[in-house]
Amino acid sequence: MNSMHSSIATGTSEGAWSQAWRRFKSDAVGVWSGITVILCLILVLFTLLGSLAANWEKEVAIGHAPPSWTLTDSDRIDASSGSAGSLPNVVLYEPTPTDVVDPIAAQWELVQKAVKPAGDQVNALATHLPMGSDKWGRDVLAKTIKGAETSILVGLAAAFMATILGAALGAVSGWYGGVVDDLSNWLYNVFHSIPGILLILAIAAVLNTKGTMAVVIILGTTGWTGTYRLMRGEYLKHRHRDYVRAADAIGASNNRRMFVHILPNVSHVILVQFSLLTVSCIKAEVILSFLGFGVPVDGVSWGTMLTEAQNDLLVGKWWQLLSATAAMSIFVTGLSLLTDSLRDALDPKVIH
Amino acid sequence: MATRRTPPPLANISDNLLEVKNLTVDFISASKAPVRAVEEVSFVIPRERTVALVGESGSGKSVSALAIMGLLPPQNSKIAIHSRIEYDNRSLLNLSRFDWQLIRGSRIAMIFQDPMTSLNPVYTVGFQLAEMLKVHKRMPNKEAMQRACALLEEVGIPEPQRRVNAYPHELSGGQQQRVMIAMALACEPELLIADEPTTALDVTVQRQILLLLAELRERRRMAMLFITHDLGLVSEVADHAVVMRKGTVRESGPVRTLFANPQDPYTKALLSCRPSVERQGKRLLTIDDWMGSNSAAQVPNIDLSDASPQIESAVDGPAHAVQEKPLLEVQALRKVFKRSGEWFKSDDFVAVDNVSFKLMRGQTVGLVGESGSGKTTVGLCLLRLHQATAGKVLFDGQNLFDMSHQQFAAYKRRLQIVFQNPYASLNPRFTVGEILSEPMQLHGIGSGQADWDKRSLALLDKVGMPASALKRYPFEFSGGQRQRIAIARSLSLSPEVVVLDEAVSALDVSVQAQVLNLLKDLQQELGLSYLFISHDLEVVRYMSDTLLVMNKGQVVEQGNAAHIYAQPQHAYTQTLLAAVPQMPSSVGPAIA
Repeated sequence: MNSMHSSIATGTSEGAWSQAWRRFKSDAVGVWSGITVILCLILVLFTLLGSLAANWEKEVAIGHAPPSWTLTDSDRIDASSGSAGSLPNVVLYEPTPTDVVDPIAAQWELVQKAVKPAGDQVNALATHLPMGSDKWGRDVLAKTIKGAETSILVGLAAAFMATILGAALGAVSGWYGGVVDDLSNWLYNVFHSIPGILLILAIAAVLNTKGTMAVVIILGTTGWTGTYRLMRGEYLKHRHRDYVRAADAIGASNNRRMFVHILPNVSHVILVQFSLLTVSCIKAEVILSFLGFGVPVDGVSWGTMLTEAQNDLLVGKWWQLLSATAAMSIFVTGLSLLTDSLRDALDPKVIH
Repeated sequence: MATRRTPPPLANISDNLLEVKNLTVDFISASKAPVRAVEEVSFVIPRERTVALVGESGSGKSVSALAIMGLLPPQNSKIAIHSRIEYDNRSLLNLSRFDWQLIRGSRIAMIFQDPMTSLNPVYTVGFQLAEMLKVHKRMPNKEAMQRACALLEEVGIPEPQRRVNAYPHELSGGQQQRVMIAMALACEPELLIADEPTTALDVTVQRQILLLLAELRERRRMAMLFITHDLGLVSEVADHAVVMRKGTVRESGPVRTLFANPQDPYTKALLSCRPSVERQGKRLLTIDDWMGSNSAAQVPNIDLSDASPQIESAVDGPAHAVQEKPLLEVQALRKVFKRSGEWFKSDDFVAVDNVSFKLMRGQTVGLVGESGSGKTTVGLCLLRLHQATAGKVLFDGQNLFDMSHQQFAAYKRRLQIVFQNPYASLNPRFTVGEILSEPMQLHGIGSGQADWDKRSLALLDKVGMPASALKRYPFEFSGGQRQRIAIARSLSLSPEVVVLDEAVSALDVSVQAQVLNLLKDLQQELGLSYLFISHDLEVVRYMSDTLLVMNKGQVVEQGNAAHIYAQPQHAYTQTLLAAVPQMPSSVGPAIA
């Protein structure tokens, strides 16, 4: 009995979470994807505070201005030579070609003068922007950043709602069994038997309100099924484990056993489900907005950008499509890789 | 068995089938320093003999066997360069995959502990047997099936013609292990490695499998490497024994001399820490008693003289207790598990039927039986962890089954349980301190965190754990330590009755002895009553005053423990007792 204590090393011991963190830190892919996701979230925070991409709706360039990096040197010279000396990349709105007869030129000039002081460079429009501009001359880069805010926030909120819904229902269903389980299984089957997109569209049609909140509700109420199934399985498995029985023997109540004893042991499932759902909700939001059920026209999200890009592509303006898809790929891939690493780090088989 | 088997005298054996010299295995992992699993292990297996590798978990016995079979994972294990494994004068190290195919299965075969996981559930046993023959011996299909049939007959499966088409789940555990043995024998190996072949089996089945292995070894003139943790088995099957601990060989030699005159303190400790008739009523000797000092013989003597007067008083106990009212009385307990059978018919399973017994204060009732006998169900029903179908449990005269949940809550304090598997019964996300203070918190014992911590420390001290354990998580402890924590938790409510459900079955023998001693000490100190449930007859005999023998949900024999062991009345009890592997009788006195 005396020698057995020697096996215990001195010092503080780490719990399952800090162990998982240590394992996560040693995974380079996980760390880099985590950094990517965090950078994206910081970006979203800045747009929320209004210090970034707040003026995305402003017309800052000519319609369909190409991205600067696509211009060849000769294009660039052309562009700079045509502008007023000190502002090389800016052209004034005024010049109307003299060799063309413009029937409303006189009225137009009057209107211009009424709105803006003559020669003011406020209405100077860029001929090219870092990521180009859209049909109405809005900066695609600013649009993408603002769109990220909408898409990511909607994704997170919807995933949060779906995870909470699924986890709570799954826990109750797996723990109590019987009629509760039968009813929730019936609900699960109903939701699961209808193809995902169809269900989303059906609910969107029934709700008949457009707006960001509607998208969150739609995705939240349809996305819970996977989490439900997993959590129900976990609770079924854990409720007959010896440690839960032991808790029963010392007099722990139902709620205590469900939430204090079992929940910490299955919380990794919830975390992984949450990040998986965020990915799929972002994708679903894009699809919804693309189909016109999502974010309203006065807002912007990666989905609405893709809808517009459809028409742009017909006239060969591809930069809006590139910008939205690139941003979406970076975030979604980052989040997916992060999820994979989280799952590896939190694997209970490794944790004991 | 020893008389039936007539091994050729040692002098006639000209050469050794397998030689292991200085085997050293390191396990490598990317993040940690390499772990040495086996160090400088040497032994030989002569032709047609049985060599036993004995040791507790972590002793390196299975790793040695896997090294011989070339089954160690190459990416994270490393066999030292100076190690040698020679089979028939040919090195087995660094063989190509193709060379191994010629050896594994056809010259060296292996059987594993759990037959359930070793057989593929989607194929019939005949198919799996025939596949071996087709691959290794290139037999045509029909011939292979016939041979499979013959093999099943040889390993003692009844009706082999029919059973050849059975799926693994249709066979019992013992029959599955017989099929595994048949598969191992299919290609007529010269060496059979049996890695704990009977550990997962009931004691009566274990006896049959041992007889079968001995018989087959003799008939087929094989050599056998028998790996086990049970010294009792070694004395029955093996000619030579190699005792291992923590990766090194402590002692090796012919079984008889090893048992009669063990040299190494660890061997002595292993031999003496199992409860047996000679040690009835005495304190069990633990590894520390032997290994603690160099003059090993003296320590146990002191220990014995210390313990014996206490034991006598304990023996006096029952005489007083007869007049007392029983603390716990179980009357006609019945538990039926509902199963739905065919249409509109129920196929209910009677797990426990008509079990009655009385438990006096400060005494122990032993409940013994093989797997499926319903003994654990009895324990769970007592604590209302299972809902009993019928019967009464009178605790201090109150029927526990009549109470509402609120009324019963007060009795939970007085009735506690310790589960079999300490790896499963402690919540992995709680620190030991949280585990110990939770019951007190729930029952309103003590005041605040500081008081709970103080009480938890006292509990830890009582079960022989250091105070530093308080802030640690269960996975940082070994099995024996975890079981101590589980015992401490059950004591945190100062119960009067503790149900010990196979509480020492998952532990190594040496640790088992420590925990059994602890349980006895606690019983003495706190006046606890135990319901001791186990499949292990020796342990139950050691612990119990009265005994219930259960078989298929029924109590077949009931009475004074010593009497039942001395003169079992029921046929089932007799078979059960006869099946227990015995240490050679010469060992007992030599130790005591």
